[in-house]
Amino acid sequence: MFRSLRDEILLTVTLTVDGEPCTVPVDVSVAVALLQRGSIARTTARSGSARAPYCMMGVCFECLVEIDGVSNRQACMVMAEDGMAVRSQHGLPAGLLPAPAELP
Amino acid sequence: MKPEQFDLAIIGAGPAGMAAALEARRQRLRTVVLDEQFQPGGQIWRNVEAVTTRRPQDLFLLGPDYADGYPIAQRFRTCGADFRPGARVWQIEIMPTARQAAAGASMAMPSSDALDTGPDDDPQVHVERRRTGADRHLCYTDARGAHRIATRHVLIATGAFERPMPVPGWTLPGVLTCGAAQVMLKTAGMVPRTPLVLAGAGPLVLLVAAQLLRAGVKPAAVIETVPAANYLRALARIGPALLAPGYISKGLSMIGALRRAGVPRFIGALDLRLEGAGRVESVLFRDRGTEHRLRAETVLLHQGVVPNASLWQSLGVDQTWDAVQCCFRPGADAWGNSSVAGLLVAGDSAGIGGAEAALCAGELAALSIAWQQRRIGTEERDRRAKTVRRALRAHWSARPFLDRLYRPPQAMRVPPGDDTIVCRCEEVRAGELRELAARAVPGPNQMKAFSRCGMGPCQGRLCGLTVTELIAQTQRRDPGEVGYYRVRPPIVPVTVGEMAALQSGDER
Repeated sequence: MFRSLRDEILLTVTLTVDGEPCTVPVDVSVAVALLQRGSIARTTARSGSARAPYCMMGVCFECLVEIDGVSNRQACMVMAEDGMAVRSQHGLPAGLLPAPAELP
Repeated sequence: MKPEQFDLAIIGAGPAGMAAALEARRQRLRTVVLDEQFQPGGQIWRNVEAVTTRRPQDLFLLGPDYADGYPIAQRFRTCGADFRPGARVWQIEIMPTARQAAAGASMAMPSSDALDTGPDDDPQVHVERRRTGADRHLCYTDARGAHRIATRHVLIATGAFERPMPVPGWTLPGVLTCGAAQVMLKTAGMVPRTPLVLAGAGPLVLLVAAQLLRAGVKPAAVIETVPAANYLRALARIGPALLAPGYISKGLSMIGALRRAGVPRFIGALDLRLEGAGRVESVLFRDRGTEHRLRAETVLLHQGVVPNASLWQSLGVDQTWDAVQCCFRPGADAWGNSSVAGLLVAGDSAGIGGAEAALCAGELAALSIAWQQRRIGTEERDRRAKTVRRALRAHWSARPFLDRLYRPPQAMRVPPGDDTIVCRCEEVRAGELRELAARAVPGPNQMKAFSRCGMGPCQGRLCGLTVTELIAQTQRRDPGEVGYYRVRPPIVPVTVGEMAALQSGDER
């Protein structure tokens, strides 16, 4: 969804998103990595529809991801760090209640 | 363990918060400033220190108004305020001692005219000049955990966020706000992939389009949803706006840049909707009777900004509906003192006025606090305030024009289509809400209980104003009377573990 203005960026960090390495400039949020890859953050618990970063300032909570094993972190409010493991979230975690039935 | 004590805690290090801190430190108040971002500047000057020092070539893209933030951020850094970045305030507690002290004070709102002439002579004024204890507690979380601090005064300077823009397809990946694209440019030096379409209304649509053009990204179209009637209403107010510093000339120069670059600009577009399978692929709209469909990889939406009100709303500050800006404002006197003793609101969080006005409002709030804490006399406060108010009035004089020009039409605030998602988190659609409203659901809180609308992780930030206006429209009531969700702490997520650590005194 987004690309860098410059080909060469001097200071970078490399994290993984769903297991794949992703290199971004230093001092950016995890959501920047998602937008650079063009990947979604999560699918919703209600309908399973895909969501990606929307506001980039901590308001909309669309960019909730799992970071280093902790789920529901706002990707736009966490700074990307070397070696960070980011995973997209899908609906409800296995074993919890199923999504509520669609209303008629 | 006793919490750390301050004279003043400021929440938000944007224009209002920084200006307040500078003035508070001039008056030697022990001042702490908390901001959820990692650098000072707020959203308008987001990352301005790093851009200025590390990639100054990008200052040209962002423009002179952005560069203006750097010297202010520098002064803020060295003013002696205790700046705590990456700190998210989730609760403000007013301790029982403060409530008792305030109980005798009148809660009647003084008129701003009365305050201009000096509150000392006004028996109605609810701001008392007395020794207060540090009996307001702030709970916040940062990378190391949860903390509690105590303060005599609290200034909320939490700025604004973009108004919800509930059009069909606004939840699709690839659809972001114009502000989000600016954050990408400011923090990461990144631009949206093309084909790119910007849609909505407001100065930010034009500004982002102009900034991206300078970055070499040409939008496929700028689709403006401003109804023709807005131009007439705005023109009636153009006089004072022409005298205000730069607002109109900046707008015209951005429109000129789009025209020279050959970017198609549609004015008065209707029926805006976004389509795509799993991500946005096309933008559809009607322009003067003709249907358009544009292919898009990225779509940027915007229809103005509204106060980031969660914190002051969570404290039960009196609020009024602003029918022009279509949002709630806190009841506050001309200094920013709210109906809750010891609590002030300044800048866009108190009603949209822009960065320059926020600088003035922050300074006025700090002057009032310094006066209440007997650091300055009435005469000095009023003398200093006079100059600031003159500047503030100049910046406000552009608002009647801008607010009327860019007031989103009702169909853009309350979706006419039943299938349009209002609550992104819980995926509640306009039709369901209208049906409940027609069955006389009395207000947003009951609506939430019936539909889960506003019950998701964003805590109603992206549906609250839509729900208020939807109920008002369906039941033919005034939005001010319908009211807003009851906002309750914690206003940002906090873990049970963090809360427990706070209770056991395991603090900073």
